[in-house]
Amino acid sequence: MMRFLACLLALAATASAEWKLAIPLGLDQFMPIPEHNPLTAEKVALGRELFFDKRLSNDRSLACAGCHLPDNAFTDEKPVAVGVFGRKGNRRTPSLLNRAYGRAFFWDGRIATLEEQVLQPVIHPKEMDLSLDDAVDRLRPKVSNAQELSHALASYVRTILAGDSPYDRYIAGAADALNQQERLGLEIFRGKGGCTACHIGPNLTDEDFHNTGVGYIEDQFLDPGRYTVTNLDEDRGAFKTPTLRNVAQLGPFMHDGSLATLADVVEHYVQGGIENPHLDPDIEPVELTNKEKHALIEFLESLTGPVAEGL
Amino acid sequence: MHKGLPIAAAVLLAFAGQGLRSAEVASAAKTRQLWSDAGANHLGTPSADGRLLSCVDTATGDLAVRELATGEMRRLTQKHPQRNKGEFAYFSAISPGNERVAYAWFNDEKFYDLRVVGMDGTESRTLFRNPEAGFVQPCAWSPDGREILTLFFRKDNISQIAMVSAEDGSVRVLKSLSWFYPKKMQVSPDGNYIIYDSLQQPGGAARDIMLLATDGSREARLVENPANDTYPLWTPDGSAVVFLSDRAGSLDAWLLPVNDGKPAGEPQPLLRGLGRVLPMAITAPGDYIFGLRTGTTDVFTASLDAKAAKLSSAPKLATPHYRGVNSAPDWSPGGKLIAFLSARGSENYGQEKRVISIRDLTSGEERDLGTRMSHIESLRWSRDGGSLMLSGSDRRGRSGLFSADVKSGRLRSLVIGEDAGFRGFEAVWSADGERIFYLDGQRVVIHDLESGNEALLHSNAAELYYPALSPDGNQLAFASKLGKVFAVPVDRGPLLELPPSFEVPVPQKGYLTGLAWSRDGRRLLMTVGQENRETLWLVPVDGGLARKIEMPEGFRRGVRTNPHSDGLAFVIGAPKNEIWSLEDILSYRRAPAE
Repeated sequence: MMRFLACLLALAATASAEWKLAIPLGLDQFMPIPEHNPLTAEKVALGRELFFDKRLSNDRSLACAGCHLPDNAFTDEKPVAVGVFGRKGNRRTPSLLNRAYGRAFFWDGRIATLEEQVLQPVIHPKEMDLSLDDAVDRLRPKVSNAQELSHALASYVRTILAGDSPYDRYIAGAADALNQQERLGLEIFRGKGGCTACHIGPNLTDEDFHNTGVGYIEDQFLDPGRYTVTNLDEDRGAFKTPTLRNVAQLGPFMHDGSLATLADVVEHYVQGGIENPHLDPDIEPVELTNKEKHALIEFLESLTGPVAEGL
Repeated sequence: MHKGLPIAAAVLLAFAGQGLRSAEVASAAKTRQLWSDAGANHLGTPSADGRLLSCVDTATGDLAVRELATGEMRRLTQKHPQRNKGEFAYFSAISPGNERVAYAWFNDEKFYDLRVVGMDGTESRTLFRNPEAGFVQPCAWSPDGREILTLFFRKDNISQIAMVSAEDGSVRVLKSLSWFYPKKMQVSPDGNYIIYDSLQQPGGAARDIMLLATDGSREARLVENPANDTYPLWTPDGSAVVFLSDRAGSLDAWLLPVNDGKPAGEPQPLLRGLGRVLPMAITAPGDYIFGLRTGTTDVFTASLDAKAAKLSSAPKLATPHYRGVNSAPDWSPGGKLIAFLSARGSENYGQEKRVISIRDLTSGEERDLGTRMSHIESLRWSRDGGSLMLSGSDRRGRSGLFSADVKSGRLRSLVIGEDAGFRGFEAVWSADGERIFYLDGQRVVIHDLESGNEALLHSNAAELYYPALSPDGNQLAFASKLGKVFAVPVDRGPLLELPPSFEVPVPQKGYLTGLAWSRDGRRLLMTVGQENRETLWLVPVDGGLARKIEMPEGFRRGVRTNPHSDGLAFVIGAPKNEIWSLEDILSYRRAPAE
């Protein structure tokens, strides 16, 4: 109730004026926001409401928040997404943390903007399975067209931010923010682990596509990944690097949810991924002692910070 | 003090074929050479009035300002010769009103502080000190003097554009970028925007000009063109941006009118054929201050008569290709091939892309070896000839030592160290190729390639440099920062200070710059630097007088001995910096070059 009142007050104060979002420690102050969809408190509030609205799904059973659970770092615990009528998708629900900084969306990067992305699950037959016309009809008068729906949802998703983790405080100069074990893990992360080859920058992702061999079974990929977008052989089995922000809350891991724990993920990379014709050349076996593996996992757990969303 | 000559002459002299093409502009353009002695550096910024230049006093490592009209240098910091040994000033920027200077200081813990000091050398204080930031570069001040536009280069190999409070050192990170940091950043005269250049695509070479709001609220691609557009500078009134572009075939200055953070027209050519300039600022009177790289480095080979301590053949250029940008040679174990580094791409304070070239000195065949390295500092050919050990950093952001297959270029990490720095470690292979010996600060470490196990071979009180393995593979020689040379048996044994009865040819204020063994293993070839000259000495390992080898003018370290002949490979030439001014660059707006 208090939150609702706060929202109303904020709305009254800001009307549709451009609104400045508080950026957590560790993330860039500059957030790319398209000129045609400036961030306003009004749109953020509407987007938040729509994010939880089950009318956006065919059978009115599933809202965006049904898979992107706010209490679960905006993903869920299922290996692959489950949509309306229990339809199973092929890929894991990606977390929405810090997607405001994204340059490519979905595991295969087929969409370039958040405004386009937010509508895709609505119309996808294995997700919410609703036409945009029907969606708008159901939501009137809150929205009058698909663009308003897209702009509001994208605005809200931009407010879902995670930072201010022990790692961020350490990077900012608080030497005691990480314990000795976590610091060893950081050293491995940047050093012989080679993790920063892909998990780099404030959001701990290069927003690029890599083949680590996950899903390569009996000489073929169950999911061709990025190849479906580029038709380039070298992109077979390549998927977008996910953020490691709050990664301890993001399991099961990888695009198909096939690795249950962080320990499984570390072991996957220690082995050099899964050999296949298109394995990323940067993936190679890493020699880590058990102590080093534990330290790396502890460091990964230090990437967890509070999640902010909405106004 | 100043020499005045048309820019055509200045640039063409240095870079034949790359200089100005427009005779009209060449004859009209007036340039002045502001600074050209051995200490010239473009690590600072000119003051807005064009009177002063912040810089490094290369003789001491102190921060200094140079009066551009008179050449008078004034040190703003006073390093203590003992207490601050190893510390030095680096990049700097003068505040509005010439009141203060913000500067990077390489501190006693071997990373860079951001500091400020008054123009009279008083009130020096550290604004920001964080080992995670690793490298800081103050680029410009906000017009109100409250913040310093700073480039951070973090330990995880990303760069960041940040505003640092000049009062309390608090930081606002505006934007994170890849390893390829901007070549130039400036704050607009109204304080609202930052202009910088950024890669168009990850992994590409061409850049665009970006404009970022200082409050982080928005960013725009100000100049978008497939060409390489770099080094943006604000005009003093903030109505335009002058940048370098190769869109017309040569590296030219272009001008883009800007209004309220947006282009107010199309880019116009301003001056053709500037060449390899490093633009620094446009002063209030409109003078375009720029650095100029005039030095060259080339790999040469010659034969050494060790008994006579002289070269027995005239030095020969190792490759006719990419003249002026080749360095760091090493011989193949058979002695027929030579591998070296060749810089490609644009100037950028050490961020030039270096590729490996391999040349057959008999047939003249030459090829580049592609690797997934982001920086290569040096290379060592393996004893079996199948791979090259590279020191530097790979594209995964890891620094240390790597092995590149000589045929495919496929890379394998050998030793990764968080504190290696982007230059990696200095190292040599063992004779059997099963181990490597590398220098990590004050330690000599043995790394077993099969098991990955490491052991300490030697620990010294001083930092160690220039490892060299004796031809029989039994002794490892290296030098300490104090100018001493040691050898230690690789299978452990007593440390020997070399040579025992030898007067070390390192003169006062001189320093060792390289070590190599003669092919017979009885002498060490020591390179000694003094006052920007380097000399080569042949030093008997078992004692006796050191003998100077007469080397060609411009000789500069990088000596490697051919394992199968009397051949030597070495580098001649060194990069040289100059500072120039081009008067009233905006006057060419009314008379465009084309």
